[in-house]
Amino acid sequence: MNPPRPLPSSLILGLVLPQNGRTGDDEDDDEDEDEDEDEDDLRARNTALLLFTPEEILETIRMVQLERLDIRAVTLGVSLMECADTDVGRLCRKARRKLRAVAAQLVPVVNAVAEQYGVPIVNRRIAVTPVALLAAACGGKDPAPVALMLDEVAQELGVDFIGGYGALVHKGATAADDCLIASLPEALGSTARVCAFVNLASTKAGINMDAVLKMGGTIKACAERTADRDGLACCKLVAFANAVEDNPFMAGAFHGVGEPECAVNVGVSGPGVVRAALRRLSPEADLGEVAELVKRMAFKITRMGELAGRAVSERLGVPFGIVDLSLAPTPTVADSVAEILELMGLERCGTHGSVAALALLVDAVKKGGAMASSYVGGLSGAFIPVSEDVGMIQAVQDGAMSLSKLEAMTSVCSVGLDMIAIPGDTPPETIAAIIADELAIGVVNNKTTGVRLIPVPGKKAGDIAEFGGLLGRAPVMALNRFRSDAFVARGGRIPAPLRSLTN
Amino acid sequence: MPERVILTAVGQNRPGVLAEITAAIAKLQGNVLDISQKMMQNYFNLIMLVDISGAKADFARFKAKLEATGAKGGYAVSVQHEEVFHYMHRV
Repeated sequence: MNPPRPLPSSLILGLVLPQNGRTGDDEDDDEDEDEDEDEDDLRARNTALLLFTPEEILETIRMVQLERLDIRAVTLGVSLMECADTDVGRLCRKARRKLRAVAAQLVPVVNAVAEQYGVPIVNRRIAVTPVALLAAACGGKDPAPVALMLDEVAQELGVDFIGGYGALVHKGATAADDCLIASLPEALGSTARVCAFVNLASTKAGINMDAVLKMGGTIKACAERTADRDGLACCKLVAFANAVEDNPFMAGAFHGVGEPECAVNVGVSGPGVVRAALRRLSPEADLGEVAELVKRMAFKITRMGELAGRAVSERLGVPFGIVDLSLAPTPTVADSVAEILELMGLERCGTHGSVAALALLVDAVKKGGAMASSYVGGLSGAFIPVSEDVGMIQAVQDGAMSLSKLEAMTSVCSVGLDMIAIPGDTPPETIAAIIADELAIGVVNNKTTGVRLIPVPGKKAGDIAEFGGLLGRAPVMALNRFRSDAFVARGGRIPAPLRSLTN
Repeated sequence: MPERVILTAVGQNRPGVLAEITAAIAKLQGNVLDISQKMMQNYFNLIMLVDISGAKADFARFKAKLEATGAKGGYAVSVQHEEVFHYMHRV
């Protein structure tokens, strides 16, 4: 479970240390080089040498070495607006040139910063302007070559995902939006690193049900196109309500139209650190104390993200955008959001009390994180992706977690129905209805919600779908057997809720 | 510009451990600014503040060399930038 170290982890965990660190005696004989620094904090550091108590130092070392503190993603947002062209080939050439010029140093710089601060940075990513906007001038031509170009550039630059192959159709679709949505199965099926999104609803516009129904069919087609890989293409496609323009997390990242030329956005993580801290908390501690502890840990985790993000931004010469405070699990043991909820006292994640526990967790993460960073943005919620969280997979397999409970949990601040495998024979209308439900939660609560469903071809409830890597594996979940066809077939737009009238 | 790192070492105590570590730092021209050490049972816990701005090695090489010294001597050494602790523990 722990990385191989020459010494038992209990040694570092159980250290007994003096209460105070040495605060440098009044006279130090090495003052020669430091004294000309005039910045306040440096002066402060010169008067007191070891400014940190041994407890603080060991806490940081422990977080990194034993509790998997990492920075989940550094995402470079790049505007490709200037690359729009009437010819798809020319568009691709211009975009390739720009991405090479702007993002060539991304991976080396991120690696250097990770090395310098001793904190792993797991993913390096690029987000671009929604491709439907770029391709609008192409007059109805298939934009799939743009996806191929993005995939090649991503591979060439060494980034693991490139996002932004998407469209914003929350009120209605343009001809270019329709072309892009129609191209999704081919674009995602023939590429490895391209991620796509479609924004189908917003609090201000309501829900575009025509587009929702179309997405139901598109998701099915994406699954069929990659039937040999358990519908992998669907893992790279998100349907959103209230999509955000500076989200660093895939698959939904894109560089919005209100963004600058380029920006560095950082997604911090750290379920492992929060979990480890909760384990050390006395079982009698009340929920106020639990929230306080999570808040303090979130502060520390976010500070690391802020530090790394600013370093990357400075070295790349690109403005710093935001830190996203989401808790994002990985398929690794001990890096699970479900396990945090279980440590709060639930026998299994998904049982009664899960919604309340998640609400407490996310609120505390936001309160701690907001204090730690000057610019908080992105999604800043908790991710509860089934396939990427071992605790969640276990909960589904034990029958503790159902789709309905997941949906309920997303109403208190998680980001949506994420990475959920459903039976391969699910009709497109049912997929559309699941999307509509989830988007309604986002629209009415004025928050972002996303849906990433995988109708795994040829598999039924209880089977296991394998996606590999960070995407993990997911048990196929059972759905309600009653149909919603007539409802979604009505089409049209569900009007914006009363709470959108805030002006 | 001072570049200061915090070095921690944990391991079973024996004569010469501190000498090994400081010798490795000296070989790279690192400058030890502060030391705190505690014993727990037979284990030592060492925390050092080291200025490596005048060192012959950059941070990555300094870190690698010191970690290798620890691995050879049977104790765990970790090296991190002071800035990390500053960011995390000071508002």
